[in-house]
Amino acid sequence: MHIPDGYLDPWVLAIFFILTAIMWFLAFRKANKVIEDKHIPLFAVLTAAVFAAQMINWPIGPGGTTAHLVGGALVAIFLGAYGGLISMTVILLIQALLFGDGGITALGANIWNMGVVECFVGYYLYKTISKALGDTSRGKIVGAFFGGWIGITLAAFFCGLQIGISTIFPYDIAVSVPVMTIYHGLLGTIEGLITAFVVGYTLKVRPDLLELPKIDPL
Amino acid sequence: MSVFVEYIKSRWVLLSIIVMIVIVLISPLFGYAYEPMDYVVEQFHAVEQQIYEAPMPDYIIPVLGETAISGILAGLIGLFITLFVCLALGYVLRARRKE
Repeated sequence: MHIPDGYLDPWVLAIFFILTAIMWFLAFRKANKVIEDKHIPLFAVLTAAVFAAQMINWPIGPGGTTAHLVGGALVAIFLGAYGGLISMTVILLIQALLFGDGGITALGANIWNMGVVECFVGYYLYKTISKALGDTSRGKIVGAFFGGWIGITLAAFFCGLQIGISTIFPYDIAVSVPVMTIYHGLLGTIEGLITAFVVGYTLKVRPDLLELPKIDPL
Repeated sequence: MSVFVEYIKSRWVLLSIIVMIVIVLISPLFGYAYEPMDYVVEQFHAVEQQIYEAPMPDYIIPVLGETAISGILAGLIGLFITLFVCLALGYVLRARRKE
């Protein structure tokens, strides 16, 4: 889902850089107020784990497509939506600068999709569902599944929207949005399952790691 | 600070790092990527305009060529840089914390 350089029109790049910059400002401002010593190793380990997990592709998609964990919802469930955004920003910066994975000019759009959309949708869906199911372990695992699944699907929707409204592609959003959303909607069930597994396992062995103060807007 | 050091030494952090290293070691087995984005690009005949030359493009160390060991080393470098950057960023944010 990493958009390379040259796929998006300058005005699309500008809009998403501005939107992402606003979210960075809010995220770092909140992190400055909330972060504790306990957050630091969890932030580092989760971010590095997502970086490593993104190197594994599963070839089960339609048309022979592959996908990898994006991980925004997973990090956000542990750290909060803003925490997830900061974490995904580090990953996407390192991937773009060191490995050419995702364009430099497209960083704003890529961070918007995988850092803002996936983290916020994933985190608040997780919170809503787990609360609706009585804040039980089962509720949290179900919430994590839907958070991971819907989070990556909506991130892909935005990705399809950005490339669809850009004039470099001869087709419009009527083609790019359904392809990206439907394909990632199917592949995203694996993201949901991995997110649910990690949350379920953590609830068994170290439930305190899920109880740290969250770096989120509310 | 002492809590931070305590956490770094804790078993779950060390185990997590070992699991991450294992994931990077097996990553060449699952390295083939043909994402929905690639499908869309192929259908639309779009061409990437490269404006920046990354030092390890496509997770390959240029002097080692497109080999499994090259991919593993690039992954391990990325993994430890990510860990270091996050620890440094976390510590800076913590040090500047506004009560």
